[in-house]
This record gives sequence, structure tokens and C-alpha cells, in this order.
Amino acid sequence: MLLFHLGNSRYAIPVAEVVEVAPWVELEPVARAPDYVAGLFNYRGLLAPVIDLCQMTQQRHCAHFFTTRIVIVNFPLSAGGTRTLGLLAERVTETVELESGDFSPTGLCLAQTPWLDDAATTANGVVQKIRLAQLLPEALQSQLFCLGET
Amino acid sequence: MTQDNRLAVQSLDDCWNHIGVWSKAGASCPQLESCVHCRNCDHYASAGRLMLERPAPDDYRRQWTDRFARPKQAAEAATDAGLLFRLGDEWFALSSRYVSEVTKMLSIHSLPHCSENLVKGLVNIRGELKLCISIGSALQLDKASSAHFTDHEILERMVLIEKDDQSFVFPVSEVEGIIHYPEHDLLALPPTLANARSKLTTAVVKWRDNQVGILDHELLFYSLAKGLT
Repeated sequence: MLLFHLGNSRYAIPVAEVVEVAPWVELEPVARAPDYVAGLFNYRGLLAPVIDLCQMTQQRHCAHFFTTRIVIVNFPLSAGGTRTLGLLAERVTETVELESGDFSPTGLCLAQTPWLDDAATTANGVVQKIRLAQLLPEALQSQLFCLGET
Repeated sequence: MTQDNRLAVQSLDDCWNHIGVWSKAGASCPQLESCVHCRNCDHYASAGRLMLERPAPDDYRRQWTDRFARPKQAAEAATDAGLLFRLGDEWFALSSRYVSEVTKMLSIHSLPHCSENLVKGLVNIRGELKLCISIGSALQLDKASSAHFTDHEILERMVLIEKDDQSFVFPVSEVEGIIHYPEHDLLALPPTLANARSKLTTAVVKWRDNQVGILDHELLFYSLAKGLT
């Protein structure tokens, strides 16, 4: 599991879904996009949208630190197939080994955050797993990846 | 730097300087019993990460932006690593997968009725007797003649190579270390070479000012096994 922070909360994403972790590079701003779309990332010649997870959860930009990094993932589309997506998160510095048995349901199913999965308790506090497929609403998926046109 | 972060750095507990291994008064931290050294301790690791919790300069971001904008170089993936060693005045490399150990020179116990050039005797490596061979004779090298290198005993090493259940030890004049060479840097051998050396060498790669012969591990083990029977 790749760990990252959003403020003081810790989240994890399975490493199998991570392609690469990149530093916070300069992004091309996207006009009139939702505020949590940080911009477009020229990732090895391919333009990938980057989502600012701090903005998405806490209505503030990620801090401009060395440890704020872009996690490149293959985002599974609801309509099938995957697209390259960047997730901007804070303190992307470590990985931990957690079994699926370490996670237990939080008992919360908030309509605004369908992407929060089960949580695990570790020595340093609670880690919440990210349900990658639920991260973007379908409407935004079709806007970001132009699904209507392809 | 944000206010929070400045406070975090100021309030950093550098216990490794007070009670850890870098303490002038001697290490007294109870954690050391389980960690042995401060660098294995979680507290030390998290303090190190905290050092990165500071603003990244603009040129750092620009540099990485450029770097990620370029396609990944495929050549980086197709590199091979080999142990670089010297025999007399020639350099060779053998794929590091088959090199198990490099040791200092050990005494070679010669075998009776075994006066062949190839077998030099037996060597005791960590309590196991291994067959010591002369790789120079397997490659039909001449004795070092030119004065490019003066052999220093202090540089001499023993190399243990293993593949499947075969293992051999051979002395070399010097071990440089592991080198990495991309496949496109390999040069073909001069076609005029026609002795055992060219048979056992697959390619040549340039290293500093020297030509390094890349040894074919399959053929090397095969010819050593064949030479012994």
C-alpha cells in the first residue's frame, strides 16, 4: 500500500494500481475545470489530468513541499478500460504492508465520498483505503477523458 | 515554509545526538536494544522525512517537468550488469548473476597428479572446498607482458562463480566492481580473433580507456566442465 497524507489524515492506495510516483511538476491549467482538477500533466508525452486530492477533500490546495507528489494511476473507467490519471497528494513518502484482513469497514457510507473504503488501524493511526474506481463521478469522467467523442 | 512546518522542525527531537549512537556521552536509548543503530529506528526515519517537508524551489519543479515530458528511454531497461575484473593486462566482465563472492587471496592447496594448467588446486571458502581454476588458461591468455599494469598483490582477489550446481574459484589480478552496460553499447569482436578468448567472449564494451571483454557465461561454465573431464 502506498501511503499519503491529506492534511493530517492518512490514506492508502494499493501499489498494484500505481504506475509511478512523480514529483509535483508544473501543470498546464485547465480553463473552467472544477477547482480540484489541478491541471494537465505532460507525462512522457501523454497529457494526463491531475486531481488535487487536498482540494477535493479539504477545499484547500496541497502544500508546495518536496513531499507533495503526483501518484500516476491507471484509472478504471465506469464504461470499461483505463486512463492515465494523476493524483496530487501530500507526504507521499512511504509504503506499508497491509493485508486485506487488516482493513475493517468504517460503517460510514457518505454520499459525497463514495471513494472511501475500509480502514486499517496501525501503530501510527488509522489508514483509510481509497476506492480508486469511485474517485471521479461519472459525469466528470466523461468530461476529463472526452468519452462521448472517442 | 508554513508556520506549522517551521514549528515542526524547531520542535524536532534529535534524540540520536543525545541518547543515540551519535551521543558524546555514549548511547543510552532503550530502543537501541531492538534497533541496534539509530538509522533503523522509526523516529529517525520520520525525522528524516520531516526534512523534506519544506517548499520545493521553482527550478526543481521545472527540471522535473522537463524530465517527465520526455518519453522514458527504453535503453535504461535493457542494461546488463557484470563484475569487472582484470587478468594480467586485460579486462573482462562476467554477468554478475553468476558471481557469488569476491574474497581476498586465499592459499591454494595443490592437488597431486594434477599438473594441468587449468586446475590450480583447492581453496577453502567459508569451510567449503572449491575447485580453483586458472581462468587465464581457459581463455588461453598470455602471461601479462606489457608494462601497462604492475601487479600489486594487494589488489589480487579470488572470485567465486556459481551456476546451477557448478562452482569454481579463480584468482584475478584486480576486481574493479560491477559495471552496467546498455545493450547498444556492446561492440562486436574483431573477426580476426580466433582463439579460445574469442569463443568465450561475446562482445566488447568500452570502459574508461579500456576494452572489456564480456564473457559468455554459458560457454565459460561448459568449457570449464569439459576441461576438467
